Amino acid sequence: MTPGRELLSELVGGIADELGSDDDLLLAGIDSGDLIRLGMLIEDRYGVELKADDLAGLRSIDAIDALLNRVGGRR
Amino acid sequence: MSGHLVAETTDRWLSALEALVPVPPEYRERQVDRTRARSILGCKEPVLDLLIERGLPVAGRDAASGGPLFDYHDLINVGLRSGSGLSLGEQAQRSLMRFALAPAATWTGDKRWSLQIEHRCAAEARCEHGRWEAAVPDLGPVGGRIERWQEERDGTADGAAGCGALMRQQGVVVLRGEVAPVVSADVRKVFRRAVKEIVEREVRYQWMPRALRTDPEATDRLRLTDCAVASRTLAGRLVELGFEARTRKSHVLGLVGVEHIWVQVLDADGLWKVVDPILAALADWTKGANPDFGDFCLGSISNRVLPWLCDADHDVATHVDGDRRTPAVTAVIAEPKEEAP
Repeated sequence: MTPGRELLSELVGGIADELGSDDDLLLAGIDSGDLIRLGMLIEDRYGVELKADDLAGLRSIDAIDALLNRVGGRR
Repeated sequence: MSGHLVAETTDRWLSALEALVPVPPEYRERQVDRTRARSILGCKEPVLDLLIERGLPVAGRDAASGGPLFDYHDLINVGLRSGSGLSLGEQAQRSLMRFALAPAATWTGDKRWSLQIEHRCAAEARCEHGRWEAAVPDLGPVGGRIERWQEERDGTADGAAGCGALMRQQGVVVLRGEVAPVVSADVRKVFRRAVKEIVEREVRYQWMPRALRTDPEATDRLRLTDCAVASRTLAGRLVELGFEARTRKSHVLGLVGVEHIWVQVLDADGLWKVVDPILAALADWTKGANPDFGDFCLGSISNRVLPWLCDADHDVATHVDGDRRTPAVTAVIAEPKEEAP
């Protein structure tokens, strides 16, 4: 399981396992509130402050993984 | 956690509850169960128990389990004042206002957005001869261009209860943002007063269901405000002073597109300017916000705001079936795109 999928699973449970890595999370039925929490969870977990465009780009598991790669190096 | 810290946390939640103006029963639109309530508040079981014991309104009972149901907006508003940083309302606000932390230079300049917008009819019964009335983006106030735009008006939401009719708008827009400080001393004064009333809590900023935020008598009586109420009030005061002013509906684009209303006023220099008391107030409450953002809200508009050709008194989309007009529930999914090659 990729780090992005793992993080999403923490918030939404098993439904994260059923998503394709490039599925649009909102269109796939992930609650917008959970996406907001995801952004804040990444900030807290990685000790970073995401930019507005980082947050707006959290649209798929691929995008979460790409962001985690970037913020991992930004710490 | 020490006893001192526990007491401090408890006090914060109780203060937040005390500050709450509950949604009057006749305006309630969405109820949630205990599990969802705890998730919205971002708190542990004992905190929710304490809030219930101290008067958090129970809006109903679950038909199957008999468990309590709570008003969604009450929970959001208690969370907003809790200071926990973990409630959904606080996190949504933190996410919404993130762009206000950035340097002022990023608020304007061409910014390309990919948009997927869904309007879903919220009628409880099927609209037999339903047709859509929907606003279109109006980039006049913000500048920029529509690169692609298409609409589908005959969709149906999967597994939807009730009508379920769906209209989709998709496209790519470039939003430019506009820096245009207000020159009229009178407009500046009225704007500052409006922001001060909100920041100093002479009126209470709360999230509200649609029926409440569109009832001026009720919001006046309860001393409540949000972007719709604050904009209507500000536009009214400007008109009383002899200015042309009108409310405008928009979506602030980000992780979740948020409907937002502001005012356009015809300034003393003959130009229409955007004045936005709520974003100015939210920036005042946002830790780390750029100190110039409040002034920016007095005449200027950012490249994250998608204006609609629609005022505060109309819905962005409405499903019309004969005499019945049902406001749509609108979801805006926006993603910033790199500039086209």
